[in-house]
Amino acid sequence: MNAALPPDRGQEPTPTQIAVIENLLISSDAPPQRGIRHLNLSFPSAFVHGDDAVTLVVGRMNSWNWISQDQADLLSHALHEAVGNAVVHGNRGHIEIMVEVELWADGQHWDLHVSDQGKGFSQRDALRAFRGRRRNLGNGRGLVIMASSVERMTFHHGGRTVVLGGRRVDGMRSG
Amino acid sequence: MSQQDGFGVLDQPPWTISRRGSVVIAEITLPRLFDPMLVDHLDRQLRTAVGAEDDLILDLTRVRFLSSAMLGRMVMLWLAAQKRGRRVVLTGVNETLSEILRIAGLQERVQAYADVATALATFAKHPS
Repeated sequence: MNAALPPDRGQEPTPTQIAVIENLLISSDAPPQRGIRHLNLSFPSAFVHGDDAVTLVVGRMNSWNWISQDQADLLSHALHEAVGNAVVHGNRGHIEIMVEVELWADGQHWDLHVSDQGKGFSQRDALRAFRGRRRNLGNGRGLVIMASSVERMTFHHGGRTVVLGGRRVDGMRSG
Repeated sequence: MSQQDGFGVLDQPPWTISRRGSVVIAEITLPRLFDPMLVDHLDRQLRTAVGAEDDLILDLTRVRFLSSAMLGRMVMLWLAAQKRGRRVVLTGVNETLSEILRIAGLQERVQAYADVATALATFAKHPS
């Protein structure tokens, strides 16, 4: 902690963080389907199920040598944030509404789709959350963590589906 | 302990809160802290435990993953401590968590030490 910083400094998003939010890609279209679908999980909107889903998906990707251990830890963070957003902001914690996680991949790249059944969000919503009064409670910070933890992050279905994407480690070796 | 107590399927809160003089030490024992109910509960307990003259050590030695919501609560605790002229520091931050703190813009703001003993020693050397 830098004690010399004035108290208000701690509340301000950095320019890099603002740039991440300003450059969010939010499309109304369905996400592209890369290669073939390797995993398809659907679970109730509860964190205990979300935890299991993240552990399973990242564990499989690691065991297939698609990601390194370092990437696995960062991806776990990103995927936890995505699933958390789907449970809390998308499905509003209604346990009977399902969250879907799909893993698509071709020989070089993988895509994780996390979908909820909420009303989606706009870039303006994200910027408002990030710059607004509640930003210190974490609003918007999760998006920055997700975007910074993977190679690609795009939103589809008006924000109801997030795609986290990266390059396969084994694909890089062979290709 | 029931589900209503906020710990979900856990029997006890996944943290312990102790005190050494004016330093409150919270050791989080859960590897993944993402459930917002747990985050809320921990936040409330910390706010109750930390008095106006207290510093806070958050020991993350056993934590692998931390939600952005928990990072947000840490910022609020840090800001509140700063206003009182006190400190909030982290201990046992692993490499991935360190990277997450950097991404979230908190690494330069919240000081981290290897372990609780080291942090306590700095509090003794440099009282707030």
